[in-house]
Amino acid sequence: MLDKKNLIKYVFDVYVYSILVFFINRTSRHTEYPVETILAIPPWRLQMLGTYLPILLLVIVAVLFGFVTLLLSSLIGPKKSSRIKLAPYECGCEPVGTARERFSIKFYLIAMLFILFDIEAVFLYPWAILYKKLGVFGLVEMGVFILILFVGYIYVWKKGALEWD
Amino acid sequence: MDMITFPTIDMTPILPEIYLSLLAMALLLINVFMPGRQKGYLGYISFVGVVAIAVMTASGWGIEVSSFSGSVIQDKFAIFFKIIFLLSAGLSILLSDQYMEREGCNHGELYPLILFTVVGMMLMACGTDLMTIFLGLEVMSVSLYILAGFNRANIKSNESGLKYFLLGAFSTGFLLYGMALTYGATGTTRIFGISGQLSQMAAPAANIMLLAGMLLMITGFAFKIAAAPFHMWTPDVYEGAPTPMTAFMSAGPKAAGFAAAIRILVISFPALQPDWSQLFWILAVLTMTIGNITALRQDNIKRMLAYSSIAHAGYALVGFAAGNETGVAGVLFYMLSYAFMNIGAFAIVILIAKKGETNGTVQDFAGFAFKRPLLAAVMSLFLFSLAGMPPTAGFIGKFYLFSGAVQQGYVWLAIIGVINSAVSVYYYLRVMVFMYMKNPSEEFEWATVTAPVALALIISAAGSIILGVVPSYVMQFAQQAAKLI
Repeated sequence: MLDKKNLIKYVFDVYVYSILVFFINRTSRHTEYPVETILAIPPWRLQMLGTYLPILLLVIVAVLFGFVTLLLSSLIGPKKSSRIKLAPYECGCEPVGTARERFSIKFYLIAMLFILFDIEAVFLYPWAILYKKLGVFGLVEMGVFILILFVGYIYVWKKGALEWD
Repeated sequence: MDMITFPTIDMTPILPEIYLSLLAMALLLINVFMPGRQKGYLGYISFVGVVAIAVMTASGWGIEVSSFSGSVIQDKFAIFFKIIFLLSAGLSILLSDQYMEREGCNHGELYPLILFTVVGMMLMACGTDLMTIFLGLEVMSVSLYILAGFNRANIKSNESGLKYFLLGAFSTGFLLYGMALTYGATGTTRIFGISGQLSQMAAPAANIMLLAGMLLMITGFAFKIAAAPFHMWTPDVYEGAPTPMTAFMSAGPKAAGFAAAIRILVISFPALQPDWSQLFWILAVLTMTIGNITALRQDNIKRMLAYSSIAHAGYALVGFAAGNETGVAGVLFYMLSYAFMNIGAFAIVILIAKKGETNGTVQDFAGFAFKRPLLAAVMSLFLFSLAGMPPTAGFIGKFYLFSGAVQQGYVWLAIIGVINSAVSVYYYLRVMVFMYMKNPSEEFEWATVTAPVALALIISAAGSIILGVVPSYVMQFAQQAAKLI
C-alpha cells in the first residue's frame, strides 16, 4: 500500500504538473523554443497531440480528480458502517425489492422517440443562432427538415406509440 | 448583417431520391390514416411510383450534372445502377403482397421501408463524396435491418434482423474508419479530390495511412457485398428474412455495394490499382470457391441461393479485379441480369413454400414439373441463367466479366471463374432433377399464382432471356456507363 502522505504529494504533483503544461503549452505555442526544452517532455508527445494536448490533460485531470478523491476518502476516511449506511442509495426512499427487475418494453420506445426528436431540437439551435444570416434559404431548408420529422411524428402518433396503454 | 451566400444548387442528380422519399412518406401517412388491415394497395401505389421514377431516372441518360459542391453526380454510371435498384425494388414489391399475406405480416410499413432502402442505394450510386456515400449506405442498411426482421412472429426472421444489424453495424465501423484514414491522408472526402491528391504524392503506395484507409474501406464494402471471408452473415440473414426481402437484398444492396466500391476505387485510387486489383483477385477467388462449394451441400433452397449469391458476388469481383472498362461494364451488366434471374428464382421459392416458411427444401421441388410445367420451366430458365448457360443472361454476364479479366492479363482468374461456374451447375441442376425426375409427394399442394407475382415472373423471365439473346442493346449502355474517368 502506498504511504498516505506520499500519495497525496504525488497526486498534488501530477495536478500541478498538468496545469503547468497546460498553460505553458498555451502561451508558448508561437515561441521559438518549444515546451519540451522547459519541462523535458518527450517531443513526440507534443508533436502528436499538438493543440489537443490541453483537452487531453483536462480529461486526465478530471478522471484523476474523481478517482483520487474516491480513493482518498476510502483510504483515510473513518469507516463506521451500519446496516442503513450500507443500503443502496435510492433518493432518500427506502429500497424495496431487487433492482434487477424486468421492465416494460414501452420505455424503450419512448426513449427512442425521445432521442429522435431530441436530435431534431439540437439541429434547431445552430439554425437559430445563424437565423438572420441564413435568411430565406435557411428557413426553407429548416421547413423541409421539420416537415420530414413532422411526418414521422404524425406516423408514431397515429400508430399509438405515444400512448402508454 | 452580412448574409451567407449559397451556391446555386441543382437538384437534378437527387431528384429521383427526393421523389422516392416523398412517395415513401406519403405511403406512411396513407398507411396510418386509411382504415383496415389490408395494405396490399400500398404495394400497387409503390410499384407504380417506382416505375414512374425509373422512367424519370432513365430520361436523364447522357445528361451529366454534378451538384452540391461535387458531392453528388448524375452520370451514366449512377443512372444505370439506379435502374437496377428500382428494378429489384419493383420486382420485390410485386412479390411481397402474396408472401406477406400468407405469413400474416402484411404491415403497410413494408413498402415505405423498401423505398427508403432504394433512396439509400441511389445515394450510394450517385455520391461522389465519401460522406454522401456513407450516408446512403446508412439509410440503406438501417431500412434493411428492419426489413430482414420484418416477420416479427417468426423467430428466424428476428434472428436474421438482429444478426444483420450487429454485423452490419460492425462493418460500417470498418468502412467509416477507412474513410476517416483516407481523409487524414489526403485532406479531402471528395472522391475526385482524393485522386488529385494521390497524383501529387510521390509514392502513394508507401503511405501507410492511405493504404490502411483503402483496406478498411474495401473490408467494409466486402461485408456489404458478402465477399468471402466476410460472408458469414449471409446464409443466416438470407434464410431468416422474408423471402421477397431476401430476393431484394441479394440483388439491390449488393449492386449498391458494388456501385460505391467501384466508384471509390476506380476514380479515387487509380494510382493504387495494382494493389487493390491483387486484393480483389484473392477476394474473388475465395468468394467464388467458398460460395460454390458450400452451396453444394445445402438442402434448404434459401440457404442454397444465399451461398449462390455469395458465389455470384465472386464472379462480379472478377470484373472488379480487372478494373478496366470491360470488367466494370461486365459488373454493371451482371448486376442487372442477376437482379432478373435471382429475384425470379426467389419468386418460385415463394410459390412453393407454405405458411411459416416450411416446404423450403430442395426435396420439396419433387415432381413440380408434372404438376406445374410452366412454372417449372420458368424456374429452370432462372437456374440455367444462374448457372451461366447460354443463351441466358447469366452466360453473357459471365462472358463479359471473364473477358475483362483476360484483357487485363488475369487469365488464371478467368479460368478459376469458369471452373467455379462448372461446379455451380451441380447444385442448380439438382433442383431441376428434383423437379423433372422425381415423383411428387402425396400431399402436393397447388401453388396459387397471384397477378403481381405472375407479372414479376414474366418480367424476370423476359429479362433473363432478352439479356441473353440480344445482349448488345443493354451492353452498349453498360459500356457507356463504365467510362468512369
